Amino acid sequence: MKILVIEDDRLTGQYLVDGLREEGHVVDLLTDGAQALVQAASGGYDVLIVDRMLPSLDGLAIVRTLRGAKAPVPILLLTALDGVEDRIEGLNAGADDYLVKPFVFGELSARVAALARRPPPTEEPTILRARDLEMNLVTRRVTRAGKAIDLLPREFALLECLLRRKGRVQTRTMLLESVWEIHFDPQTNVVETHISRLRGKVDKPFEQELIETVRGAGYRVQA
Amino acid sequence: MSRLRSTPLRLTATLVVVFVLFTLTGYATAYFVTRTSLSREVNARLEQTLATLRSIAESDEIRERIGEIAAGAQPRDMLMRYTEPGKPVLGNLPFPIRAASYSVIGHDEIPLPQSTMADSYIAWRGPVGKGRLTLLVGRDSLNELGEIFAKVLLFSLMPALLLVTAIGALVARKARDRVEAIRSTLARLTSGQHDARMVIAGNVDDDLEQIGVAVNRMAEAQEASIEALRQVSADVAHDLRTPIQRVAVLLDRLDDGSLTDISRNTVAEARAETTQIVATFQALLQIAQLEGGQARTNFTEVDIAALVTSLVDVYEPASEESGHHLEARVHGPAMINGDRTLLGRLIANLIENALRHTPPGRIQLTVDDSQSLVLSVIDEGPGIPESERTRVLQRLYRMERSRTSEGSGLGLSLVAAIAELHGATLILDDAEPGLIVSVRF
Repeated sequence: MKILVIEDDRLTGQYLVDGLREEGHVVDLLTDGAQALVQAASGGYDVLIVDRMLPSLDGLAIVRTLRGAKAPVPILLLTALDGVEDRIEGLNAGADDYLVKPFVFGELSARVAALARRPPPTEEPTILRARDLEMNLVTRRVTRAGKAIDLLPREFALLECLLRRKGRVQTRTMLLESVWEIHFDPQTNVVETHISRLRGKVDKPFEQELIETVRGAGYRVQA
Repeated sequence: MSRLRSTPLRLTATLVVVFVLFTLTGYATAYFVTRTSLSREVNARLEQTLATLRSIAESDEIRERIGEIAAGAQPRDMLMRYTEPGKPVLGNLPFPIRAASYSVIGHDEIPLPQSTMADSYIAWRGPVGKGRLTLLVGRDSLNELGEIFAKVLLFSLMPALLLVTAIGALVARKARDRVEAIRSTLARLTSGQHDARMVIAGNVDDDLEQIGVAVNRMAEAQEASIEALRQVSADVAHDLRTPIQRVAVLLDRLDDGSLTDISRNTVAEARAETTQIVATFQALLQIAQLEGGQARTNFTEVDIAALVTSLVDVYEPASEESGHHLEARVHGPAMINGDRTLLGRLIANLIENALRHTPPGRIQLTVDDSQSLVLSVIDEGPGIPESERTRVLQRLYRMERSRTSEGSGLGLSLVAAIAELHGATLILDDAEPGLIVSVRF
C-alpha cells in the first residue's frame, strides 16, 4: 500500500515510517500541515495517517478539507486528545478511525490494515473457515477436525470476529469495540482472559495453534 | 408552570384586586355623601313646610294654607292630612297613617294608587294650630340615587374592570413569556448547550431585555472560559503525550530481540509504567473536561441494563481468575438519557474498583428501575464504616485522593464526575457484610 504519514514529531514519524516500510508499504512522511494537504490531495495514497496537532494547518482541518473535496481516501487520525467529544469531533470531521497517543506500533498497523479498502464480499458467507476449523453462521455450530466445539455466545462472537478478519491482527480495543461495542481501554487484562478461555476450547485439544498472539498488538487467526 | 408561580401574573392579579377595592370604596363614599346630602334636603323640605304652617297664628288661615299646599302638591312629593275636631279633614291623604315622626315609611303602607306615589316617604305627625297634622315628604330622589349608582356601576365600572383585567392579563402573559424565555435559556446553558442565547429585540432599556443582555454576556464569558479550558487541555495533552509517545518508541527500539530476559522484563515494566502514566493523565484530563459539562450535548437514550450485562460479560472471565464471582441482576431495559461511552466507563470503573479492593467473593451488579433508576455494585468485602462514608464521598468529589494506590482513587473520582454530569448521586451503603456503591439517576 502507499501510505502518507503526516506527523510533526520526527521521532514518532520516523518510527511509523520504519515500521510500515518493514511491513512492505511505500511510505511518505511530511511534517508540515499545509504542504501535506497539497501532497495528500494530489493523491495516489491508499491510506493517510494524520496527526491532529500540526504546525501551520491543523490535522482536523486537513481531514475536513479533503472530505469537503470528496476525497475518498481512508484516514486514521492520531491524537493526544481522548475525550468523548474529541473522538466524536474527529470522526465527524470525516476520519475513519482514531488512535490515541501513545500507541504501540502493532495497534497502528492493525488499524491501518483494517482501514485499507477491500472490495466488499459479493455475498455474505454462511460458513467461515480457517484451516480445519469451520464456523456455520446459520446453525451457529463450530467444528474443528470434525469435532464439535461448544462455545458460549460471546466466545462465538469473539471467534467470528477473528475469522472474518482472517490473516489480519485484531487489537484488544478493536475486539472490545466489535464484540461488546465498548470504546475504552480497560485497566485489567479482560480481553486476554476471554482469549485464553476461547483457546482452551478451540486450540488446547488440538495439535496446531489457531489463535496467534501478536506481541505488542493483539491476536490473529492465520489465513 | 402553575399560573400563580408566575410573578407578572401574580402582580397583575394583585393590581386588579386593589383597583376593584379602591374603585368600589370610592363609589361607596360618593354614594353615602350624596345620599346624606339628599336626605338632608328632604328633611329640610319637611321642616320648612312645618315652619310655614307654625308661623301662622289664625286657625282659619292655617286651614286655608294647608288646603293651598295640598292642592298644589303632587302625591309623589308630598302628602298631608289635617284633622281638627268638628271640622272636615283637609289634605290629599284620605286615610290616617300610623307612623312615628321622622320615620321612613314605604308606599305599601299607604292605601293609595301606587303609580302616583313615591317609593318611600319621611313622616311627621303632631299638633299644628288646633288640629293634628300628618305630613309625608317623598324620598324619590334618594331612591333614584340608588338606581343611578347601580347603573353607573353596571355601565361604567364593569367594562373598566373587564378592560383592566384583560390588558393586565395580556401584559402579564407577555412578561411571563419573556421570563420563561430567560429561564429556558439558562436551563439550556446549564445542560451544556453553551451556544444558547436570548433573542434581544427592541428596547434595550427595558429591564427584562437588560436581564436578557446580561444572560447573553454571562453565556459568552462561560463559553470563552470553557473554550480556554479546552485549549489548555489540548495543549497540555499534546505537550505531555508527545514525549510519552517518544518513550514508547524508544522502548520499542530497545526491545529488538538482542536483550537478555532480565532486560526484557525491565523494558516490559517501563512500558507498563508508561501505560499507567497515560491512564492517570487521561483520567485527570477527562475529569476536567467533564466538569466543564460539555459532554451533555452528546446525550442519547442509553439502556443501562444492557450496558451492565455487557460489561459484566466483559469482566466475567477476568473476575473468575481473581476468585470473584461477578453477576448482573437486571430486569428488562432501563433507559436513561446519557453518554454511552462515559456510562460504560463508570460501570467498568466500579467493577474494577470492587475487583481490586475486595477479597475473593461475590460481586453483584443490580439495576433497580422501580422508582428512580438506581445502579448498584454490591460486594462482600470489608465495606466502609458508616462514620467514614461521608468523608470518602467528599474526597471523591473534591478529588483529594491518595496518590499511592494504583490509580484506583482516580477511577472513583471519574465515576463521581460522570455521575454528576448525568445528574446522578453516588451513595455508599452497608451490604452486611460488604459495601454497596449506588448511583441514583
